[in-house]
Amino acid sequence: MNFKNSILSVLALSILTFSSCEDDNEMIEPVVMQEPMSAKNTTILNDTSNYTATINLTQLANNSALRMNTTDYPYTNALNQSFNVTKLQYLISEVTFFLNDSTIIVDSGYHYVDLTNSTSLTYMIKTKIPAGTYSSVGFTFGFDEEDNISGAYTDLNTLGWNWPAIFGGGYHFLRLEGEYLDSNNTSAEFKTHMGTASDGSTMPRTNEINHFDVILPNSNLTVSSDFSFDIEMNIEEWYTNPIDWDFNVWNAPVMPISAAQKALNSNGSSVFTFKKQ
Amino acid sequence: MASCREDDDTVDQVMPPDKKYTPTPYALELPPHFNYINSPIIPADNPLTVEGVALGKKLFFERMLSRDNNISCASCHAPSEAFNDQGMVRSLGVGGTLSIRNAMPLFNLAWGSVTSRRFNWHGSTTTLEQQAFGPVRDPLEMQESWVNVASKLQGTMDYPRLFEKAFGTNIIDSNLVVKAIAQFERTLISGDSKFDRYFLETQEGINIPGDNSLTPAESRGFDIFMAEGSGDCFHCHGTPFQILWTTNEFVNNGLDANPDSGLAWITKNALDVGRFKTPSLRNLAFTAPYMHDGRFATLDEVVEFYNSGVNVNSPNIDGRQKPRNLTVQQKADLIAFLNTLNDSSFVTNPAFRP
Repeated sequence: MNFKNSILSVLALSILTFSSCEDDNEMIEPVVMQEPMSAKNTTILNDTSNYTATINLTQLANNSALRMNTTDYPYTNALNQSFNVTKLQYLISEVTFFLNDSTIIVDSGYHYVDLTNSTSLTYMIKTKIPAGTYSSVGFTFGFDEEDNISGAYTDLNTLGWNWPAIFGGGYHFLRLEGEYLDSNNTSAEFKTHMGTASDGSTMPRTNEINHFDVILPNSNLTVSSDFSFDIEMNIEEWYTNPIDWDFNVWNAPVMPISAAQKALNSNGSSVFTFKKQ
Repeated sequence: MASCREDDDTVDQVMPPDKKYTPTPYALELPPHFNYINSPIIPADNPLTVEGVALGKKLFFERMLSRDNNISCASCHAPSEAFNDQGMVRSLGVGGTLSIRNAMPLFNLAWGSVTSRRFNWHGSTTTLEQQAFGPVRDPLEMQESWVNVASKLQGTMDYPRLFEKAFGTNIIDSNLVVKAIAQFERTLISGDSKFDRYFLETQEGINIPGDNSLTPAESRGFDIFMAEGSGDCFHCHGTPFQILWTTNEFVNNGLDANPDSGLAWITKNALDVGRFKTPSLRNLAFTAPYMHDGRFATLDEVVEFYNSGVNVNSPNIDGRQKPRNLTVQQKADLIAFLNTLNDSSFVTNPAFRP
């Protein structure tokens, strides 16, 4: 699509959403949110070049690249519980570029990451990004309520990535699995699965949306050519800041536990960092 | 033998039009809700054709594939049993040799490459074509050489003509035999169970004759199936939107403290010891006994195994396998749900009979 024309055609403060099911990875047309045209905007739009953004999804633990399937327990959570990682899969959507105070560019796609599939560690977003200086980059972890529609994505259905209807439906956002040393110093499994938060203390269950929006710290960038950057997942942060996660309490299952789901939501805001290429 | 490569004009002159190699494309008929998952992958070098599928079906029931001309694919994969071996724990090969594993049922194999990319209990092959090579020469199964199979088929009245129609050559070789069998296997689609109809009505708004609602027991069983913290079956066996009722992943479900090598037999990776292909839960009424070695005769035994019988110290065991503490009622409900996945139209489909 012609991004410049799209920007100019959008009315003040409107949000455009066109439903489309034709392309598996295209949920809705790119969304442009814009305040009334200002001199500042006009200046930026004088540069008509659009560029390709490539995102590298990287994963860190203990400040270096995550090591999977180790026979030992190389990582430690905030409660000093040792653990390793055997599976990591997650979903991001709506990568967003904040051009300035008034213009936001949102890519409508989503991306599923599976650490056993190296091609999934690179995500080239479909929306071309106009030249300019961006104050920050963000994304949605999981699907927001508009997009978290049960059964809507064939590729995710094929993977069995669905979140059960009894727990609110939609899709998984995260599967982080591994082994930890329990209070008897014995190996036990944890399966940190995240999606809709479902409270079983009510009848019927009460389900709450549970995605979160990330604005990556220190993610200002100037776009003047095709570009790439890293979105780093810092594994230990899932289990602290602000809520210290106790593997002895929340190992598996955690899908039906609303408090655990909400803790992941709270902790998730500090999980991701930005790295320029 | 005329070639169709560069001299089509010549072929036109020497062959009557009805003898030309003009196979008819075969379009898979998918149940409407199968569009919830990725399309099946058909190999570019073996497209489905009407003639190829028909030949593949004939070959599937062909006893000349075995050394004593007494066993066909269908001998251990009976259409009336969802292409499973009619209650046999392990199948009998030529001369009564006993195979090492329970014969797998055959359906929805066209999607096998969409997910795990491996077939057989221990993942020994990556395509259906490659899979079909195995049983003919297996010393515990058909015990025949492919040279002999090709020779026997070549000497018949029918087969050279049928290969000509399917593949444009009347020279029979093993590569074409397995291609035809794979084409037939890709047409074995099962998607008309009670739960499929319930799903189509409730999810797609398609009205289907008859009462397709779930009973209270079936509905409770479905919730048990889908709930982490209860049955939690879906993480391996799929969801209503996943349609196949298997993720096709390789998992050690904890049958034994010292398990069979499983996938490790192929990968030589110690982390794969005990891992077997997760089977679909469709058509369980027709596919007893259960597990890779057919050790459980009934669904009650299977559910009780997952409920209380798992060997939690088995190497590489999946972490979900721990006591589920289901009540008698819950176990009965779960089985009631599983039985909504039986597709009787599949096991009576005349298109799959000789």
